[in-house]
Amino acid sequence: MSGRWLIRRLSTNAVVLFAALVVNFALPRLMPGSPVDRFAGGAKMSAEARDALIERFGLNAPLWDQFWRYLAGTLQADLGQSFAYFPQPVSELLLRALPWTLLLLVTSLVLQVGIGYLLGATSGWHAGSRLDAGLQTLSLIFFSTPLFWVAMVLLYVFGFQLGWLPLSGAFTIGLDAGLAVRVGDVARHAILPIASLTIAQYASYQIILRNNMVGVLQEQYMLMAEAKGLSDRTLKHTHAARNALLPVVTFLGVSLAMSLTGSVFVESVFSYPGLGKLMYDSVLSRDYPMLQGCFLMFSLVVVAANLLVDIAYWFLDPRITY
Amino acid sequence: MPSRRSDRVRERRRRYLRRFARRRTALLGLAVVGVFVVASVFAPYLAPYDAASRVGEPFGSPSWEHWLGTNDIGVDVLSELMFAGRISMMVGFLAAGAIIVLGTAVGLVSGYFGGAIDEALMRVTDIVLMLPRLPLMIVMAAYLGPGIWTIVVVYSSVGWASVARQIRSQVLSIRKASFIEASRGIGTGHARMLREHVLPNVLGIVVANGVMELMFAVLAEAGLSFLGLGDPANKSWGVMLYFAQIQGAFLRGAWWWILSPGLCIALLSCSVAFIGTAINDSLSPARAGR
Repeated sequence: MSGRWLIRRLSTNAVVLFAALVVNFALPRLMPGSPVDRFAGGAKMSAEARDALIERFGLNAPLWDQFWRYLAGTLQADLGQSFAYFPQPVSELLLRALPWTLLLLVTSLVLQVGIGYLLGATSGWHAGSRLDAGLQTLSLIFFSTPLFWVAMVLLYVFGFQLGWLPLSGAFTIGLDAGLAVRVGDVARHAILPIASLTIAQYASYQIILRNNMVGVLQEQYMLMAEAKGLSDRTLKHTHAARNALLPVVTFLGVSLAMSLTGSVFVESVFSYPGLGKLMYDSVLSRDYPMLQGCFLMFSLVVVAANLLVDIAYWFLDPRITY
Repeated sequence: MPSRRSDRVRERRRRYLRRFARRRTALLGLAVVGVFVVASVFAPYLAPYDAASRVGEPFGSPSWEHWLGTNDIGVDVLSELMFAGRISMMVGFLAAGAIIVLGTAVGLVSGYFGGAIDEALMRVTDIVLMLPRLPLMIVMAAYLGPGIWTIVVVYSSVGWASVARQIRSQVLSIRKASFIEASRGIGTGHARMLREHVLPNVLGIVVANGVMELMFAVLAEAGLSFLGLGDPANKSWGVMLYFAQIQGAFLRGAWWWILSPGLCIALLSCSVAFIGTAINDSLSPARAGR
């Protein structure tokens, strides 16, 4: 049973990855302007130079041939060379950036779920009350505030005006100190980016948890538990909130794609050397191989996260069979 | 007979409206949206200065002459905001409209016909939903080149999927309803069935979705423009923030230049969200917990 389920999930994710590859392959060929001109970055070229480039990139081969060659290359982690950091390979730059993004993402996800859980459970438990209305309004305000602006305001207040936290980067360049100091330095640099991500994105967890909580509270087993004379505390946390939490886990997979979105904004505001910053820079420098590499890497992260979520879900709710 | 039916519809509509009006946040949201619309539609008459020419000192702080200060080239920020609101709102409406039309069409067809069509459409929908949205939009926009239409096209080509999913599940829930069966029994064609029986029954969801999509579209426009994918010649609030970021508003301490466009975006999208949730809640009062 679980084997079939695993295969099904794996194949769905494989299809998504394949779709990302197709997008990457098709976009430069569908869009106006030839890839060769983009490579030249607007510089004038002689006809011979053009032909040489077309030959070199294999652009005169049949489309199917090109696609196979592209697939084979990608599977060997050959994503081409960056225009902006020529001749560095795209894959190397991506791997160097990935850990920083994961650091921000995972930390802030934990915080988001934690805060969303606390506020959502409280709000749903007191559904219809003034507290509930207040918490809901608050969550909507945060939900609809643009993330990059939250980041800009935090940077301005805590970085530029108060000077409490570093303005940019992930660590102090050239810092020569012991491990503990270096870890502290990295943590100090990560505070503002993580805070921005958390503030701007926790709200959806609160909203989901609250609405699930309202649903759970109408279940028969809640009445039963209440009739047993359990304390409000036990009722709220072990009976209601735990059951309301399940859909949040499903949502994690979806929301991860959203948080990745956030990393582009946060990293570009704080010049944080992760995937998002890499993508932002490649937009500005029109570094197409890098852009595509980033997109592929983001897709990989999403797929990996979805698989993790599936596994977590399976552990949390043994009833499900696929 | 028809008159009684329309009476019932009117009564139901009145009930929605009453529930809607009880939400003070929703009324507040409507008021804010109204102010923004008036301010930007009548920007040429209301704005104190021309939004494209130098009218003061660069980086001038807020004063009597310039309520919200000036930017790096001495343009009055308040006037710029009013004109930028036109672009922000126009792009938002266009993108949200495209998403709703596309998503509703896919959802209706998928849910109504079912079978292989449904399977195929939902497969595509799932893939679009799972691909990382912003990176995909950035890649597409980078090839299309920055501009207003780029943002509309790029955003609507990834945004329709979630709407399609919701509409589809709503269609599925009414597909087996007796009035649909009855109508099929007397030989109503597919087109007429969709138009007269299915669509009216999912309209509530379409409207609620549309309002929320408007909020997402406003935010997406701001985000993409902030990343430098907007049109520098037709400034929106997001483009203003893009310039604030790259022209060193931080270093010059020009908080008014950073604060005001962001507040406009946040206020507009927040108001739209208030309206959207109020509509949602008045359509399904059980969930609101009252």
